[in-house]
Amino acid sequence: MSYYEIAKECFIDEINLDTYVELPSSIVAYEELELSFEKPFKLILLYGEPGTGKSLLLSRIMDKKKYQKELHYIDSPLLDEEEFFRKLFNILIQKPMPKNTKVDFNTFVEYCKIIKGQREIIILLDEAQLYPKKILEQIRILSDTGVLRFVIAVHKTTDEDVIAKTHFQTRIWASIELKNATKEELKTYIHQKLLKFNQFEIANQIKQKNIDFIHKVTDGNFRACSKLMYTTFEIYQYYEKHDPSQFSRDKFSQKFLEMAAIAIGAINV
Amino acid sequence: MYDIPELENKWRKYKRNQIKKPIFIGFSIFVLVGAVSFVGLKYLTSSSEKSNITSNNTKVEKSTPIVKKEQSKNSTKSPAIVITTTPVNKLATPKNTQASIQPNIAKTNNDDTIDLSNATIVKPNVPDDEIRVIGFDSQEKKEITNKYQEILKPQKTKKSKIDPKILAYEERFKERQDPQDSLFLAKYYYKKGNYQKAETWAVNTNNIDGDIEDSWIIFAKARAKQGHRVDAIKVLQSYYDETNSAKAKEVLDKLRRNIPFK
Repeated sequence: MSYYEIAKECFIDEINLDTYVELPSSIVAYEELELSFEKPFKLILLYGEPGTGKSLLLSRIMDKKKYQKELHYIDSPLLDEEEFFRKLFNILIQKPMPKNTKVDFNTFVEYCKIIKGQREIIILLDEAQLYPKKILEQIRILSDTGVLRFVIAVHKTTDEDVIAKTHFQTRIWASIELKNATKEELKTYIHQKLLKFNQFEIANQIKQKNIDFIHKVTDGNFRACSKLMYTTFEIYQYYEKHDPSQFSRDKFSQKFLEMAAIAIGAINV
Repeated sequence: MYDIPELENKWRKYKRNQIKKPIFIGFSIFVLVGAVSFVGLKYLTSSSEKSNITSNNTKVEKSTPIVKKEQSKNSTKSPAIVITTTPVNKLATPKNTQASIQPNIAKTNNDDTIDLSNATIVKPNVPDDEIRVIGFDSQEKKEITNKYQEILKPQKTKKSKIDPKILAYEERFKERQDPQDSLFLAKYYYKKGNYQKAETWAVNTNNIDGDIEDSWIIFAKARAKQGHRVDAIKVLQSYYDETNSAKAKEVLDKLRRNIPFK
């Protein structure tokens, strides 16, 4: 496997806690979330543009706190009521819902009242902007029981206001915003990612000029940055195979970086 | 996998655009600065020409400047130029609207007058900073002077760079009123490209001695260099008519044909 193929693998868009890079802003968000877990919250709103690390933060808190708290992570949205109830049944009863069974929503609410004081369940709900309004309303009612508590991750769009204001206005304990990276954070992110795969040489070749360009075209978005770096190393691989004279192994190619930016649509020609 | 050759073509196009962009911006700024400078100069030129506008009872006016030639048979003196302005508007300061070249020799003779309606009035023996906008009431003058302060007062900053020897000549002229000193200064400033000062010193020379050929020529050339070619032709023609000066004729021909001259 060539260096560039390994470097490319560093930037695959997946939630992998082994390659998680701790940045100052993500540490702050994590600590805020961790602190809120100790408070009697009903809802926590986690918001930010796509690619700012919301899912990664939820995965990380799940990984770190799963033995101290009763945590459940729902990473993909549950789009209909039946699916939602099955999941809820599984969480509350800790058994799969039997086939050919239907549960009334009020039964869940009554059950929560019975177990109040005995259990505290935290549900991490990713991509919450995709949930139907009816389910969001049921989440609000369930959070009022004090047994089920929710961390809701939403994209920072106008829908975020709908979720925050219409359904949960008075119940939100904390709002945590995740922002795009600064130049320094982006530099750390790229270098750390490469170093986790022992790509020291390539990490050292990426200079401030390259970082400035990456930040400019990605606006500091982690997902866009990963996509750009992945594509850049894909281009490296092509030239390594077909025309190695086109690049130097001692210097990071700004040309390939720009070509990658064109390829992913970060630059319009 | 992407189509890399196609991607490379796009990248080349992107680089070309990147180069074009700053060139285009630079060119745009250059054109803009040029346009602003042109408009500013135009405005200044027109404001100085305003001082020569014929009298009108309701506006700031002055009489048509004329060049009068001495016709007395007994007189052997060279032609005298009189440029007289009469302010109608009470707000206009008479001091600022009068100028003359050898006013003491002038006599009125309507048959031989030369219309200098486009000529800008030149004031001799007035400190440089006061020769600015003539023919406006004081408020208007103040406004325009403020607006174009930077352009109107370049001499002030230049003053500090003047050679001490030249300053000595200027001081000596004040004391002795020697036309050779003022002519030297006129030539010096003309050579340095300070045509306004060159003109002033040529006028000063003419005020003392109207027979100095070089003084007339420097005056005409300095006027022409400041964009008043028609003025220069008229003044030099009147001098040539009286003296048949070959040197004046040479400059006159160049002025008429609009041939560049030193």
